[in-house]
Amino acid sequence: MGKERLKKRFRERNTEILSPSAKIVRWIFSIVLLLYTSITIFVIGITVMDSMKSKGDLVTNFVGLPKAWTLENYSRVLTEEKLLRYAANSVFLVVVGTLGCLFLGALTAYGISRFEFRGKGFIVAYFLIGMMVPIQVSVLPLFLILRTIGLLNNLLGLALVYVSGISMGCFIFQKFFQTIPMAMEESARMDGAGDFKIFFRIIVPLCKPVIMTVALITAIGQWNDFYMPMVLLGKRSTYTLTLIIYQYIGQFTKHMGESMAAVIITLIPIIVLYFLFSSQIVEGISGGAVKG
Amino acid sequence: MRKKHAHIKFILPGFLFYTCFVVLPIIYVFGLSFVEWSGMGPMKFSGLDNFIKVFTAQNFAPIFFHALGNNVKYLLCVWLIITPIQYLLAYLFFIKIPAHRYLRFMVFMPYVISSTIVSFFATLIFNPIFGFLNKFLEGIGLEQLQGAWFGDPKWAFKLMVMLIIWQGAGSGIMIFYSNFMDISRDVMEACRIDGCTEWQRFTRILIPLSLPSCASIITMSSIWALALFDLPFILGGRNGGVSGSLDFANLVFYRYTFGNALSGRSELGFGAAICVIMFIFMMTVTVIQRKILKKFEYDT
Amino acid sequence: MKLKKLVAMLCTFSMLGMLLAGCGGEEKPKESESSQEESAGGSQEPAGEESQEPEGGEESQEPAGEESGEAAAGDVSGTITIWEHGFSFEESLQAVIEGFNKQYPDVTVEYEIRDGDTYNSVLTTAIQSGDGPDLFYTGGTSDAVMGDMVANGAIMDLTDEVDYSLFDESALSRSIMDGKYYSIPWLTMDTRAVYYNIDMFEEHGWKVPATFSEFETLLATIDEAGIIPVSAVNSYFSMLFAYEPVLSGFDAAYTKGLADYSVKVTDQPARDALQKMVDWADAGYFGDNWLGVVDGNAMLLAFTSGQAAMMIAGSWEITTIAENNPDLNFGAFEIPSEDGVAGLVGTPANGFSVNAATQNKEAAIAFANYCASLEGQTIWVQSQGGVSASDEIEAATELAKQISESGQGNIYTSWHNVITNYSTDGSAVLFWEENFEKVFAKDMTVDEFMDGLAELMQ
Repeated sequence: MGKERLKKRFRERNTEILSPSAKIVRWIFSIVLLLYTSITIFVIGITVMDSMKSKGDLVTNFVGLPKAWTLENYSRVLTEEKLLRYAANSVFLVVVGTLGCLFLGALTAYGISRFEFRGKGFIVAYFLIGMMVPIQVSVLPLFLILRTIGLLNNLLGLALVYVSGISMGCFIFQKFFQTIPMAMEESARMDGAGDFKIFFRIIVPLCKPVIMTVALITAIGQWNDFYMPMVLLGKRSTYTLTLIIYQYIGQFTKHMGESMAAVIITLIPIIVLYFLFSSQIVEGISGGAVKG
Repeated sequence: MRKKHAHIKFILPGFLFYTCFVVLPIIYVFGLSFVEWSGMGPMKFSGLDNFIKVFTAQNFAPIFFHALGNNVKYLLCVWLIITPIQYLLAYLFFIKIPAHRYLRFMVFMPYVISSTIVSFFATLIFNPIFGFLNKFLEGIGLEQLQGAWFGDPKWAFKLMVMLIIWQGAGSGIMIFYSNFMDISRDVMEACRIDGCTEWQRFTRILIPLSLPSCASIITMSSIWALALFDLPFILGGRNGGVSGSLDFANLVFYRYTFGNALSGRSELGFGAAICVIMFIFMMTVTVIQRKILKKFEYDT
Repeated sequence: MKLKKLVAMLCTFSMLGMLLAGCGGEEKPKESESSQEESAGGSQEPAGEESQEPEGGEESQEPAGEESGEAAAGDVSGTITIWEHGFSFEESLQAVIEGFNKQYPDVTVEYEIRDGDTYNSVLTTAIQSGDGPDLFYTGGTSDAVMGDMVANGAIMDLTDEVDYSLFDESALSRSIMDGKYYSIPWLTMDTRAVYYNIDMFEEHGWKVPATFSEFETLLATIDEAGIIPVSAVNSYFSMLFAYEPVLSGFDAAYTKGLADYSVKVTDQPARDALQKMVDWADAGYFGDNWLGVVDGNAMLLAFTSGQAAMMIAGSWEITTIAENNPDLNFGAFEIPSEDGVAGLVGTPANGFSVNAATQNKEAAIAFANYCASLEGQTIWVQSQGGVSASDEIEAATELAKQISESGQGNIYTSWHNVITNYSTDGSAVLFWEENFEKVFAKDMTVDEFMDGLAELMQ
């Protein structure tokens, strides 16, 4: 009787009953982590403050409160640069790049993990190679390839490059598909569904948490990449946000206030997006637990 | 009835893109390692010369091996420090310590910040002249603790690892966390109700059950460790920091291929040879790692 | 097995194709894999001629206007593309393009900037594949890139195409190879100076030194007052910019001798001067933790925020300092020798060269000539805000003019230039790059460094 009641209480409250010492241990961890995360807040806070100082103030008074709050840095950054254009470029690049990469990765992983065929081991290893060669290496050949198909200095060209980086996604999806029993597909197939239908209607909805995770990691990697755009996108009109940041920070002392403003302008949307999506992601991840 | 080559239509699109944009460049670079070429003019076939040079050239081999040593050092940090921390933090979030939602949000956040901005922040804090840390120490009277931070070979590496943890721990934590979520809840509850302590549950149940899925992440982070480039490049500059404390294999590659560090001109063939050697090294490490981790793996 | 075979064949062919394409000017490989993307290029004919469908944002080259020998302003049209190697030149380039367009309104000038180490590699790749820009920056004779291009016929001989009357021999030193001109210099004198905080000096009663020993005493005095005498950064180029003025003040006669290599770069005066700097570093004249300053920005900030009294840096930093802290009252001087002789260690700046395979020769040459004209040069020099290398062009700022004058008309050759130009196999400058910092980090003694360097010099 006791066990049944415990189980019920457990489920209802969704908490565990803890001993006092366990509680203390957890509180200690929490406090340590709180201190640790306050560093993040501190650093971003300083940058925000600094972005609202006038130049002379900024130089002599780096860490304190501004003597006079001003938005001149922001107006300079927003008006002199076509910042919105670059932001649009970045968005386009990442949206296409991530969606394409996700789609291809999942598709390929499904093909690999679901079927037995000759040369399977070879194919698996083949798709892993992409992870083992750092991206800086491929820059020159990519330049040549894009030039050959005429997509240099073109966001679409770079997007194609990003889309092709399916090594990681494919790997993660493969691992995940291995945990899905074949039974579901068998029944669907008996009902006469085609392969693609099975894939889209049944498998894809199942892997929401994995999709979210892979999408996040891929998107962030592509959004923050400055190396590829620097080499493959020479024209100003195709610049991404990261390139502009890189440029500002490179001339940090000449444009100190503007650098700060530019950093904040780039960070805030990302953080807001992250904030909005984090609850989604967590739900997606914990949603997977239900089926367990 | 399953068609015989059904898998082809799934694999083909990805295969085409991947081959064109990922594999072809790699083959090209590997091919380059057998020639001597500055990027312009004729390519001179030089067989294994480049490879021999990597191991024997007076002005190069020591630097390369020092950098490789740094990579190995960093790999050990990943295995022994970073991954356990990630695992532990994922577990803490899993058991829902106080304020876990906020902490999870904040711990992961630096991940969305790009390396350029991270190094920018690092300068704000660690710069010996106007950085916050030294100023703070001065302000509370602890001047003798002031240091050159990134200019001090003893500190530079450790600081960089800390920065990487700050920025990058998030993704690993999240993946471990989602792996934990996959473990059957019943088992976890039953264990507690049967009266085992938290520690026992952690070691006897959680670790064994989650290791298989975690193994793949560990493999990936090992590969990433050997390809490290962004942060040391921005923090330590081309030359890999003071006394080469932040010099890594990929940095060396970059310096000698695009910079002109070997002989005053771009030596694309030589750089390609470095890359091939690194690749072989990575493959070896990965294979060894898989063998070790396979012992923990068993079919779900 | 069939699949594998097919894959293997495709891979091999594509690899061969890529290698061939990389060699320049041969058959473009059949990219059957990329059939999904639009293949916009036809096959490549040798000498880099090709046709491309203009894509969104891609460089498009329309055929040049008339083929007449003289490029009258109305005849020159089309599009040209210029590549620059640093973001700091962008504004000046834009200004020059604007000026150019007033004379040649029918030419569309586009530019691309690739900052960093990859510039050279990407440039040679582009040129090699036949798709290079019409005009581009090179380091001239300071590095091997231009030489490579000359050897491969990729760069245009400008001797007869451009009017070089504005430049004297020293300005052209980076543009000449085998008696022919391959690039157009910019008349910014890239020199170094000691910047100092005027208000701080007045406050403490410090004076601008007139002899070398006065400079040394000044360093000690400032240090005793608890202020960092010289803001420095632990990077080989920045230390070079400090070393060369110190060397010229330490031994002016020796420095003069560098101009014609009558003295070696590793002679005793060079060693002593370097040792002096190491001693100053040890005495704390660069700040206690200066080895940790790896970023030039920090060096500048220390000066502009008043933590350091002086900063030895390039003349191109004038506008950066002014923009960084408009409230700072600063001046500059050259380190004098014991006899009070001062001079400017100067390197001429190099500008653009023309691609031998350019599709629009008229417009490219027209632009080149504009760069070489007084008007173009004035725009560039003044927008860069640095010291001018020509009497005909006034520097844009008072300070730059002051620096010119304090040079007393003496121009010294840069020690670094000599290393580059007189080494046996080109590796001397690399030895310097890898090891200069080690001397300050005490991983290497001055003598070890100099001996190693001497082995690689003529």
